[in-house]
Amino acid sequence: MFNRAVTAAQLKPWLKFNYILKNVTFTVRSFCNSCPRYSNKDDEPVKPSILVPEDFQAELDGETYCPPLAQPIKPHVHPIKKSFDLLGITGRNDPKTHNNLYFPRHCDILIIGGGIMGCSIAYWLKQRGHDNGLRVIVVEQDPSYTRASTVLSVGGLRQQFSLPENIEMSLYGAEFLRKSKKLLSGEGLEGPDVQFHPFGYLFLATEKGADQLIANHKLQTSLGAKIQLLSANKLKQKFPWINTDGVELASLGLENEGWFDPWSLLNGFRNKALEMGVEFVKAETVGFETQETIVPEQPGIGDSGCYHKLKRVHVRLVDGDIRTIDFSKCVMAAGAQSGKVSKLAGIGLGTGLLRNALPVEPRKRYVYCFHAPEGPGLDCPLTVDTTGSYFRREGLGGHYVAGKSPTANEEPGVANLDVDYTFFDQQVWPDVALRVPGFENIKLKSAWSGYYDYNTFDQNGVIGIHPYHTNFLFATGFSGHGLQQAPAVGRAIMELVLEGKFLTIDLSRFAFDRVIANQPVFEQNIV
Amino acid sequence: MAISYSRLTHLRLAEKFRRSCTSTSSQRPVPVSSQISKIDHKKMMKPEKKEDRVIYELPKVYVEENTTGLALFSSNTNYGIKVIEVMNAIKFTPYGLRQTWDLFQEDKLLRSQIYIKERAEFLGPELATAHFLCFRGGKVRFHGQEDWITQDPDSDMLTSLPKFYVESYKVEAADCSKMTLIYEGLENMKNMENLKWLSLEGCPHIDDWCLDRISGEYGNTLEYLDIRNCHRVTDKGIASLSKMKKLKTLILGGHPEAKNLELVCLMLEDILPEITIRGIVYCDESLLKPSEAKE
Repeated sequence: MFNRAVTAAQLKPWLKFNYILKNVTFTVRSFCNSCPRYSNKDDEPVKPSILVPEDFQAELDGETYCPPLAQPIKPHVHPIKKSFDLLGITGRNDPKTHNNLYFPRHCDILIIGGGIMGCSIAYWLKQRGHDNGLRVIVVEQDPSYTRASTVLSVGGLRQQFSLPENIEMSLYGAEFLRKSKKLLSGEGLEGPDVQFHPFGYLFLATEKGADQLIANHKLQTSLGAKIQLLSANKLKQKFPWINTDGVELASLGLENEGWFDPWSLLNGFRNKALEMGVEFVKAETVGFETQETIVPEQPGIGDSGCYHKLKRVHVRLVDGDIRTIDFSKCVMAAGAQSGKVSKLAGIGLGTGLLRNALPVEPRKRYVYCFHAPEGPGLDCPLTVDTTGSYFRREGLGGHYVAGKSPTANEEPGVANLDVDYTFFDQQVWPDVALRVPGFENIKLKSAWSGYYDYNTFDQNGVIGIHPYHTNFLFATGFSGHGLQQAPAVGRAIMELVLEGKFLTIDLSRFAFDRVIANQPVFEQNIV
Repeated sequence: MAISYSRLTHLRLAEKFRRSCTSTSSQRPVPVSSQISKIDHKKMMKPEKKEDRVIYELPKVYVEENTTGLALFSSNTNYGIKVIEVMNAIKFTPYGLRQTWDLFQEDKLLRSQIYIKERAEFLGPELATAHFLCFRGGKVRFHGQEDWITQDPDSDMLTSLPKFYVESYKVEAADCSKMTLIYEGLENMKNMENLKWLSLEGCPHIDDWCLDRISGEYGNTLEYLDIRNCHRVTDKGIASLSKMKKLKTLILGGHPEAKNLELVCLMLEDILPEITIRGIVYCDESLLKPSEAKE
């Protein structure tokens, strides 16, 4: 029980300088050739390898310009009112009912966004520093979560990805969900019942996709996921209700795959975070303030200059007041709105390292619920068809939930969450009815839509520190598979913030740097 | 004007960025190995092929560790996190003390049942399972034999089980009733070729996740399953038994958290061809006939 904290594999000291020499490539100022040599071991000169597009390298070698962000404001609190409120007489100083006039003015770590990612990060951070260790504030615009992606999601949990980091994060998510009742319980607080339905995911592939499926399967099993490959005949034997025309190969998850209730997990994280002392603020982020720090001249490296450090965030309350919160580190977990809010921090508005914006934007996805009396029975997994349509059983009354990711030309507008029923008639129903003959006779009961926090760059999460704003972290852009990775991402961000490095799962490939270097990390299995 | 934050920060970021950019999707970054347990779980296990059956390695256990103040004296640690953790008050409330005690007991239970790879490699999966179960109070019956093998109450030695790998010993039946088996302990019972009979009656820690693991592991061979008095099992776990196509007998009873149990059992009878479910009382006799249309 009493053991040391886990540490990463340390670089051996006599090799550390070699690593520094060899890996000095991507820097703000090219000082590679003027770097003194620390060891005599290798006599070859340090060559900066070009990892960024050539026309961009010149810009990076120059300067990074941070545009002026929000102007400082002075919050106004009437002194007489303040005294009475502090005494508690007027009842306007109650943090639990979002009625707190004594707005928290500073914190250690600010989390923008109170969805599953924000609450998970808040839980993990506060778990290490509960009581007085860390002051964590979560800024959430809508505590009733009417438009949040978390509560509108289908709630799937699968390990069938093509990237090892995604697989490991899902495995950790499954492990966390299993222990969630214990971990998220407290004194007087009952842990959440996530209602995990262990029925698995079934991916169908045509001849073209079979090779990719086999390669994915090999990687998944090597990392510990239990996935079974089925030929068309075996598939028909196992699931007699399926029509195997055009299906060459299928992969079925045998364990730790299925779907669960996202709302109870969100509430579990949120309530436990509240119990440990995280403050939830109902406000909308409207700006960031920076502080100029003078960096002295370092001979051989560069001239003196000025670095704009993110210091303060401006938030607008419900009644229109703008308040400020000073922070030491800020985590961007705003989901679909992350791209917009990151722009307020200058990410995407400057030059050099601040030229690339966070490529996350909202994309609307529809989910339809229908009743099919002749549909598949109890053993219906979440089946993802070769066309991209998916369906799963909902409850025990013959109801099913289906959806499909539209192609790039058919992307619906994101102004509101209205549902387009013609999409079901023209796109989703023909596909599922072809795959399952029992779905020919159905009755559409209801539908809803939600936003994916879609990463337009490579549809994978952006997790890590920004290269210029080194106190600004990202945990967003998961494009539909963020819910199952939330526990792992929360833990990763906690390790990054508190220890400075990833300890359990190495997510350095998902850093923001890949956007700047234009090196996407693609995930083949997007639903 | 030059803008640079700190040379070391840039070097650190540069190193990470370079590593991250040059690795392709086929090379995966090597993760950190946990220092917690003496048994190291290796990440990259190659699946063995045995008669078209690929033997999977189950994932490593993420054991949550607590840290003590003595860790401050160790090198290679980030002292900043210790400063934060020192401010965590030790909870001397009754709830806090009980929580610490519960955590300690759970940790003890986990360590007593954690998967030991060397045992499985040395004895083979079947005998390793037999040793694991019998040492903890379970019973095992091998294929071709009629007697149940159990631990002799007078001694600690399992004299009736071979201590080396013998190929002819195949576990056919396992009686784990009233054992304190947990999810991580079920990992020891994997890769058995032909387990037909399993009883988990009265095991308090068996829940939906354990049933998911059981149905994923023995989905092709199990014919008899007894899960009476497993209090944490809900109807979702029982519904997941629909993956076991050869299940002939299922014995239920004593599941206070399982709602809609009768409906789930009816739907199970529709899917599994040879199933008989005992311990369920349907209200109407006519519902026992296999139905064609669902409610």
